[in-house]
Amino acid sequence: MKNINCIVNGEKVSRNIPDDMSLLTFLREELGLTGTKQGCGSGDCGACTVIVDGKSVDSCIYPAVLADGRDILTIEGLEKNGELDRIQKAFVEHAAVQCGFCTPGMIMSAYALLQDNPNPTEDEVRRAISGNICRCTGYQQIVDAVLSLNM
Amino acid sequence: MQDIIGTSVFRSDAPDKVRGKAVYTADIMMEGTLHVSLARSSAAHAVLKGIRVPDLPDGCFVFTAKDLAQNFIPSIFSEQPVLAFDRIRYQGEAFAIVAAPTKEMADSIAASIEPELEVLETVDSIADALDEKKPALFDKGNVCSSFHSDKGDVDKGFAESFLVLEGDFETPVQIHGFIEPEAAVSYIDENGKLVLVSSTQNAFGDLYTAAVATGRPQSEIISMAATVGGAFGGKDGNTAQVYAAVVSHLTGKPARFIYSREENIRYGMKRHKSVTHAKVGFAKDGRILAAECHMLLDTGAYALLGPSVLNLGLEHFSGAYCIPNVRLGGKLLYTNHAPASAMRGFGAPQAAMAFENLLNRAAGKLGLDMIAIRKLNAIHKGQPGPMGGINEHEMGLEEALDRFAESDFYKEMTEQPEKDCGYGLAVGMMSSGLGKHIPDTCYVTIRRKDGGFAVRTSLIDIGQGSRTALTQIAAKALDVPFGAIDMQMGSTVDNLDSGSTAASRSTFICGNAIIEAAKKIREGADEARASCAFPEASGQAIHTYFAFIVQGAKVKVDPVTGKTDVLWIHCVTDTGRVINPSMLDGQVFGGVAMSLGMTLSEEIRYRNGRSLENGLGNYILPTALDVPKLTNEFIEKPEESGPYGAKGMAELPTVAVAPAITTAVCSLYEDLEINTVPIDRTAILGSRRRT
Repeated sequence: MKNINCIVNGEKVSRNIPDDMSLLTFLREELGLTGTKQGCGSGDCGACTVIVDGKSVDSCIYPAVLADGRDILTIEGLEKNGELDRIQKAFVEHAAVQCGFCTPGMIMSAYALLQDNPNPTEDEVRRAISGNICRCTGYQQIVDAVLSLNM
Repeated sequence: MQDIIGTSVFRSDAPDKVRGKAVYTADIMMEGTLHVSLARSSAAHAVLKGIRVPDLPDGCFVFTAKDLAQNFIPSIFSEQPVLAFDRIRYQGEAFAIVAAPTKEMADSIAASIEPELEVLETVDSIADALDEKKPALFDKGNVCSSFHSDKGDVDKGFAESFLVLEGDFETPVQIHGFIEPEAAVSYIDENGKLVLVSSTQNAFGDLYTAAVATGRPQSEIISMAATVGGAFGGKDGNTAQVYAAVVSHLTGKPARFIYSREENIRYGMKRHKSVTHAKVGFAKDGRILAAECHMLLDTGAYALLGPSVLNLGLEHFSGAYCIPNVRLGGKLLYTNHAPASAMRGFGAPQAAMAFENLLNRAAGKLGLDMIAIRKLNAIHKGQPGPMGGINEHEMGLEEALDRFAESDFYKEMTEQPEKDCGYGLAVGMMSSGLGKHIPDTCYVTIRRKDGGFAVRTSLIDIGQGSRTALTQIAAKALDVPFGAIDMQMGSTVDNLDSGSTAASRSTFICGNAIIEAAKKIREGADEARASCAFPEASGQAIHTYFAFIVQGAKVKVDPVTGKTDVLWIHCVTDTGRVINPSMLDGQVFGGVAMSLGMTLSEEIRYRNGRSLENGLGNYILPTALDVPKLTNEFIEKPEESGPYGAKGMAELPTVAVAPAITTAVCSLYEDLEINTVPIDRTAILGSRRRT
């Protein structure tokens, strides 16, 4: 067991956790943040994407102990005062959501992209979400949603 | 006020989904839950002589076939056991259920249970299944079902043909690829009822299966869908559900069973691999005089919905065209592979791969363009289908072809093709409804409540958006705003059985039931129930309603590696009146991407019954870099008997992508014919490029 201290969605968190716990399990089972999903458990599908110190990571293969001292943002942390974040809004308005299981991870990848690059090209958007598999949408309306946020 | 039908209303479930608040099955965590694992066979084909269970730690359980009230999963033939007891028929078939306080413990116990196996030779392919020297999976042999239909005089039709083309076509075993793996949780509620919550297409089906296996009266089981993270046919039938239910029934504790991705890929349901011999005869002017198809499908170890897939595939082979002489035949074959069952398209993509490729080759040889040869033969309302029954409902193929011919895609293809790019198109047809002789009724209850109406049905929004489309229909039928409708779906509580959410049937059948119930409400009732049954097809036909799609593909092929890049897919759909245009586009784009995967990269390959693929690192689903620009237009030819003129369409966009892409690739080469998908790039490299 190890003690970790980190910030999750702006709040300080301190827990004793098993050494081999993934960040995904930590978020879902220790903190009850079930918005982050497990699709494969091997870092292939991106459903578990969260932001750690500003970078998107596959939380299913990211050891929770490495989160010690870091700042973590999950899908639950995007909404402010009951208002959807602009990426969340764009996904709703562009029909970019179908079954929704890839959606939280997809939005977090889009968030990481737009932090670094507020005016991405279509190719940059596709590249940024290429680690997030969606089986429902064929990606078109997801790409449209992200591109709609160009300044 | 703007008509809500035909408006791109935002999906009602989208806000919760973008917040991460939607509750999927795995998000339900209960105190004292037992985690479920299955002891699975390492051999693909064996006699199971016994099971040695090790000593168990306190609080852990192992259940085998003898613990079940009855040991079968209800389906067409119901020959699949819940737990294998005397025979193993595929690698990974379960023979014991393990329940433990943690998933790690359950997995570890499952791995330590030793089956006594007498290994048998593996039936590892369609060819093996046809080989009488190979062992039979069942007493009846390895032919699970067969189909035959003969219309007109096919031999005469071929004899009179100016051009006869034939070929042998293959499509792969494909997985559904939903991002949420199969999942179920269960518990005993305060009234002693078994509650089963799962990722499913059919809550009542799960209830019946759980009743069979546990021996509980159906009235002592409640079944419902959580938010479903994609299904595409692969959650139509039992996956995880019955195992969780058995554990809760026998232990009284909550149980949780979530498939690993490896279990999903190896042991989840599949699209049938097909081997199809097709032959089509043409008059000099391009009219089709005769068509013949012999289709062989690998259904794996158990039939599941395979017999219906075979029948539908054959019905759809040449169904988009009016052809006087048609002979259809095929066999569904048992092999030692994980069972195949329903997958979006349900046999139609396999059939279109054969027919549409031959049709495009004929167009080339007869000097006709790909639209012209289709317009010449397109099926219309009032004409007989491939098995003789008259098509009594709207068919918009000709209008869809006309619209496609006006599209930017077609103009580029015919007038200004981009250098080094190939273009092709194909037509898909897709039925809606379960088909003849299968009960196909939907029940809806509408109840007045404060400020609006609750609308209830057992059908499920599996991600496709039926909740939103049906809410639009209810709002229209009750003449109230969208927000006044509380659409309640996916539970057996206070509902009658509306069957599976499958066969592109929900919008049509549930929409009509909503309109009927709404009439009673508008006449003053506070609560009203109504039902709608699919009309049966006439004559020998299986299905009643058909939607159509024209799909065009633009490709580039790397001359060094032979790799195909798809650059653009454009579609024109005919699905009657469109309820929600943005959601229609979404269904089309998703279906296209799924079949693009089948055409380029997706395949389960078996070696001695074991799949080479075991994860998303080696089973390659298309990413946003693999799927190109997708565009869709629709023509609207309202179907009088549909809800506000709509027809079903969820499966349609999967149907003709493969032949559109293969045709586009072949257009770049002098003599290349591609009969097999996924495309083998090395086969392309041997061909001579057009200059």
